[in-house]
Amino acid sequence: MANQDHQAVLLQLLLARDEAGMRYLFDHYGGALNLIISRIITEPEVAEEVLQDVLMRIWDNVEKYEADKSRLFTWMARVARNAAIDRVRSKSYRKQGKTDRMDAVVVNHNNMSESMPIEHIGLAKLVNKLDTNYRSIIDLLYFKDYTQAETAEALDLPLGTVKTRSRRALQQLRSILKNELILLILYTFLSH
Amino acid sequence: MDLTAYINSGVLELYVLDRLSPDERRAVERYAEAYPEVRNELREIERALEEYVVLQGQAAPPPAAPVLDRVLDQVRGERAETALPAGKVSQAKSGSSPVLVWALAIALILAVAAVAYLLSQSQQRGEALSQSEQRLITLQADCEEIREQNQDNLQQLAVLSDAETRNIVLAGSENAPDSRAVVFYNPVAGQTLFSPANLPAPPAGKQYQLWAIDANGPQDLGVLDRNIASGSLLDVAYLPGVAAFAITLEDEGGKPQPDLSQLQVIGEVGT
Repeated sequence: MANQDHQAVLLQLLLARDEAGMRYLFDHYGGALNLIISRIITEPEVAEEVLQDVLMRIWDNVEKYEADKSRLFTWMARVARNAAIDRVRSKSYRKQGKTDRMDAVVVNHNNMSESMPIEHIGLAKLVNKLDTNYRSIIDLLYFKDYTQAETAEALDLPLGTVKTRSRRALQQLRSILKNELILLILYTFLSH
Repeated sequence: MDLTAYINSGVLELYVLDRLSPDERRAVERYAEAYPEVRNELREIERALEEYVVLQGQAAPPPAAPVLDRVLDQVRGERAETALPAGKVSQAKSGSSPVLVWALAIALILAVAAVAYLLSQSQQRGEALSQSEQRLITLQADCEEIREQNQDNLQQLAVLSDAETRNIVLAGSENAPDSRAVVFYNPVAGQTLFSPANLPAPPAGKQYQLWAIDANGPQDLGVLDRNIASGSLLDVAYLPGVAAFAITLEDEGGKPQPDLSQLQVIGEVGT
């Protein structure tokens, strides 16, 4: 609920073209948007450029966000992912060479687990509780521009099961989040 | 249709993950519009993914701070640009509220100052007015006094300048050889004026008393004020057939009959 209020405040600030909206966006969602971008773009300099572009896209196009269709963050995450994917597909990026998609996912996963700070034990618990298969499907679908078919191929699943698998993955994520709610709230407070 | 089966199919998850074809997407949106359960389920999925990502974002190294600075610069620059060609309307809109507030504040301050100024002015004027009124009353009283005085003087002047008026000098007696007084007697108009031309101040407890002497002897015309100024002209009672006027020095308050041993001045009315 509090999170929803945050987003209402953010939306109002952005619609009012208030500079404070941009600060708020950066402070509260900059990390998440950066994560989405850097899962697709591995070069930090390029990811930084794209983040800047994404923040401006959100700022410039906030009127196009439809509050009755999705949460504000869902829309912003989509903007970030699309911007990152556009960049990956652009010629300038391709020249730099792109590693194998599946490798990138695996490598980034490892990086995340290894670089996890000790104080983020709540998140580690959450991620560890999520089955590896479920984590992979969420990450591929959420962070990568993988289609259902590509995901099925990458995870060696029959095409028709991607839907049900993602359903089960989200169900598990939701139950973990519910159980860890108090811990997560605490964690969120401590991390600020 | 079986709503639970639809929700459990995983199509809503893929909708939130933006992994559906445009046709499938539109279908989900139709269901979401029709069924609150579908809408709620979508929101729950969104919320879960959001928390998952936001938490991971917080755990990851934060984005470079210069990004915010650059974006804020861009935002400010953009706003400055759009402010220029936006023209009068948007400029008035964006500028009007602070300008209006300032204008109102200044107007209010000016109004308060003006009221205070006018109040003090009005108070000062009120005081000045009441002073003037007092002065006017005094002047009116003075004027009235002077008018009366003038009328008296004119009447006395009329007596003095009348051809029938006799000018009688009362010369000093042995008791006061230097004393003088003057009586103006007009038997035609029936008027008598008296002027103490030269009478020294009477001793303590004494007053000058004026007498008219006719066929019946001395008649009392009254006592003179102790501090009467020489040269002043007094109206005194008229008596017909007066032969002479005299002044004696009597005890304060005067006497019915003169003490002739205290005679100061005397003058006969000529024929």
